[in-house]
Amino acid sequence: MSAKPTAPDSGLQQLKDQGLEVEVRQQHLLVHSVPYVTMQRQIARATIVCKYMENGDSILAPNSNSDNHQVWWTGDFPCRADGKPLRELVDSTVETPAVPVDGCSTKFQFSNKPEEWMQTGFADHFDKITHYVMLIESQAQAIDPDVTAYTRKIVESTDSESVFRYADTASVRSEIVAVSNRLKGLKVGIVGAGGTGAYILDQVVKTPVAEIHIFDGDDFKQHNAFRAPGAASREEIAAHMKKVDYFRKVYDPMRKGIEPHPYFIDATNVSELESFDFVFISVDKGPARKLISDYLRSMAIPFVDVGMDVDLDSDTLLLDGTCRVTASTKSKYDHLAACLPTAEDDEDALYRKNIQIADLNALNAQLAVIKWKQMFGFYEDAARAHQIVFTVATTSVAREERSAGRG
Amino acid sequence: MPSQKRITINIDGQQHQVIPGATRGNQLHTLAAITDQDQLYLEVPREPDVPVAPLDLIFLRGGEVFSIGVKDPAIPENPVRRSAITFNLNDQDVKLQHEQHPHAKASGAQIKALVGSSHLDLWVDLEGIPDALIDDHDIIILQPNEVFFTVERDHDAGQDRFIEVVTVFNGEERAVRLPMLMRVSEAIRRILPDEIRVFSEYYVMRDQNHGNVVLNGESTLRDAGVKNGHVVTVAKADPELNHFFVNSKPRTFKGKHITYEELVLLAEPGATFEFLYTVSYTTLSGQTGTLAPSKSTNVEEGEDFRVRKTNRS
Repeated sequence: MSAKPTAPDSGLQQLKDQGLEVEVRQQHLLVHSVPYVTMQRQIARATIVCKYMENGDSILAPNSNSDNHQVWWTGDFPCRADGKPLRELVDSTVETPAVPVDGCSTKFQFSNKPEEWMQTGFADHFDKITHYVMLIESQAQAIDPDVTAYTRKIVESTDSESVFRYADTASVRSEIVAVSNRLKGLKVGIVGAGGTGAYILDQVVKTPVAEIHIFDGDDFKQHNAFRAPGAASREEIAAHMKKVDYFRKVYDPMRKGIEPHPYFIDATNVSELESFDFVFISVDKGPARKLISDYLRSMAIPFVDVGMDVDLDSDTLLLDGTCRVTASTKSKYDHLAACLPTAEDDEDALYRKNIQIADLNALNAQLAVIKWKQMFGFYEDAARAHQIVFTVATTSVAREERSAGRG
Repeated sequence: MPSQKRITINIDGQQHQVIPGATRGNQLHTLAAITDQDQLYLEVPREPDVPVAPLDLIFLRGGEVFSIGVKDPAIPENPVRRSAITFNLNDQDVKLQHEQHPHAKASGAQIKALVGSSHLDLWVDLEGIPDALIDDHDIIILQPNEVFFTVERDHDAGQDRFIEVVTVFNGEERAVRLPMLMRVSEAIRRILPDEIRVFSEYYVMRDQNHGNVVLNGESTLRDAGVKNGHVVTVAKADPELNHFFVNSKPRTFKGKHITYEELVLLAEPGATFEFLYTVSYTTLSGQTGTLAPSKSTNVEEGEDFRVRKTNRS
């Protein structure tokens, strides 16, 4: 059984006490083995699914703004004892397939409120669930008076322990939990926690990946604070922390699985990346970019390399910026030599002197994160571009190096 | 002749389709069917509304909003503006400060005096429609970002001061009013789209009514023999020479295709190619792409190329 607290449960314990087969999974409530009548007037069993969202220490009630009185249903359309569809549940008997929870496909969505709840909605999940159970199983009981959803069977929770210290209610609200879970369990590396790497981290921590390893040997200094998400305090800057330790401290209140590595990746330790599912390369040095990208390619580990440039036009004194994102996948890597700058570059970069360009670091990071999410099937990727270049002066995005198929 | 363009203005909540450009107040009065007791106002955000008198000149571009109020002698004919207004004169931005001219309207003579061009003819540049010559005594209701230009004045008062021609650029015909004493080179510049005006020296003008000979850029349109009703063509002097931008600098290149290496050298004349640059492009029509070493791409007029190091994080 899951060791989740039962106190602020919006009727959960009451449902269990009554003997329903209740399970909480990914911010949803599942009630299994609800008996119903099929079109053939047979008795079958299926599962009711509805939202069950945490909000701080409590559960959002079904009549709150973010939830409603609706439920999903995994079975065929429930019928009356005579085999006619129970249209009170929903007007249309046309299937509307959905996957509200990973590994749980539903066929219908029901929308029914008893008269007395019309104005107020359901005050808790007990009222809501027992209402639907009664509607559906009473028809089955007309055929077999002994059949019931109240089996007193205890359901083992399959909800593995979340990486988040509080639940991802944003995904539940937008009903994309199953999509978010395509990123679940991944082991992700971020090599280089500079301006861009920090903004990559800022996004990756909010996905359900299992582990996030950050590699960087530098200290977190005052100037870094102006190219990092959030707002570092004077005390945090004075603490002379390693960048990776600082960022772990910043994001640890939200999630587990952030592993700081306070050193640079070189030939002696590059094999530490061996077991990663994906790596973001956000380094400044060409030779390091070459070492890491060559290694990842040899291990067939997909990665995204980022790089940017800010230029001051000496005549107009206007700044232009370029953000590059280069992806390497199992199906396409022949472009890497022509896209990754791997040579040493001693030129003093303008951006080192300029603190006003965190937006470009952030944009470069977001473009990289979007690419990563496309590679793992979270976002659609019709262009399948492996080289993406954003230019500030023309506000344009070039997409090149397209792969033939999904990779 | 190209068809007449229409724009929408709003008078007292009513939409009206009108011909854009220089318009007299009394034309608007007729359109709004207002009486002697009524007063037409141009509504100006964050500024006093401007009464539109019958002889006032306003340059309509679409989207102007007018209202109708009761005629009140207490309201000044030419209200004082709260903030400075800017306009463009001969490609220079001019900010009209309060102490110079605080009013919402100005005469042609006043505008010229403000910029020390009293001896020249003043024209207003109306994007996409024939430009208009402004007389010294014309009272103009200044809207933000008007574009004016000046041209040498002809001392022979008996002659017309402008010609009306059809220009052809990239196969597109346009009816244009041009000052007779404008130089051919300046006329070319004004006919080219904004994005490639910087390349106007590489373009020539031909007069179809004069056997398509190239007109001398230094002569005035009148001396070049361009007359009312003529069709003039503007095209590249050398059709094979392409004009585009590399890292926002104007560059030229002979040939249809350009390589990564040629672009890197245009950006960094001393480049050794040890460093890998990210080369990307955006055409005027919005096509984008990148270029890897030893690869080439078509060159389009006015295209924007960027040759950048993208190794920072």
